[in-house]
Amino acid sequence: MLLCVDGYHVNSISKTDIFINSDSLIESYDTDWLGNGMYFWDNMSNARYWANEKKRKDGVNCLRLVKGIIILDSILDLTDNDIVTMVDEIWATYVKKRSLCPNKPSGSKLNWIFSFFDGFSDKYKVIKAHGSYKNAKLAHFFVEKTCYLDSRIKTIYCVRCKSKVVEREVVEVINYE
Amino acid sequence: MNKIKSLQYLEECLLKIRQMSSDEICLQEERTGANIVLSSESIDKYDFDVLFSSTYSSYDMNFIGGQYSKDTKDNDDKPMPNSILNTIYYAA
Repeated sequence: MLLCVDGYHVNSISKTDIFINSDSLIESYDTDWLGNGMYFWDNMSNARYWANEKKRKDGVNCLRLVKGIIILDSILDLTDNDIVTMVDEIWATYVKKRSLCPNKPSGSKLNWIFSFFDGFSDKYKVIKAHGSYKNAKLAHFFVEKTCYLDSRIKTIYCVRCKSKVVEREVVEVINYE
Repeated sequence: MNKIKSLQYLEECLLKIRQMSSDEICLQEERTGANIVLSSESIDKYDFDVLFSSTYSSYDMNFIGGQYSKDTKDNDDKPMPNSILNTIYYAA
């Protein structure tokens, strides 16, 4: 059985046009999060949250929410502590041998690992992680002191290979005017 | 790739780098361009954008999200990918 998940992405009309009408990705050259790739949310409300953040920070008036099915057969799952511990050990070994400062943003470390090891990009084409957005609003349903559930944790997928996003479609245009 | 295969591959990578000398690591970095990946991290993001604009036809320098500290909330993205959180599925 092929594991898949719906992925949601918010961007400008022109960029999402390219995503919908070709097989290419809207790639971010990121160093702070999961490195280079196209970023997706795992649900529509998180995508809309991000649209509102773009509006607040950049003052954009019009965005478009698009969707694709992300194929998870070659995933680097950084929500799994066994996996992330191993990745961290690789990084720690590298910086120790080269006498470098170990403190680099996660995206830089991942970009380095993907470049350094031959075949890493063939093995892993999608990265999954949880982002902690503590300044996002906690859902009222979870505010009780005895509640350990949290709506401010958002699942992020970073897709590094265009063939891993299929059945692309426009969900909606978000117009702030 | 399931988790076991993924862990096996990562172990191979770990073993490989453990067996390499510092000089061998430098050579591998030069061959693969991994050294450039790390050095570019210090470049301002917008310079980085320009640097690669001739290479890539489409790019997007916008952050995918941000965590803001209270005193710098409009200036500074404070990303925090987090590994101490657990996803729970409950089948009723």
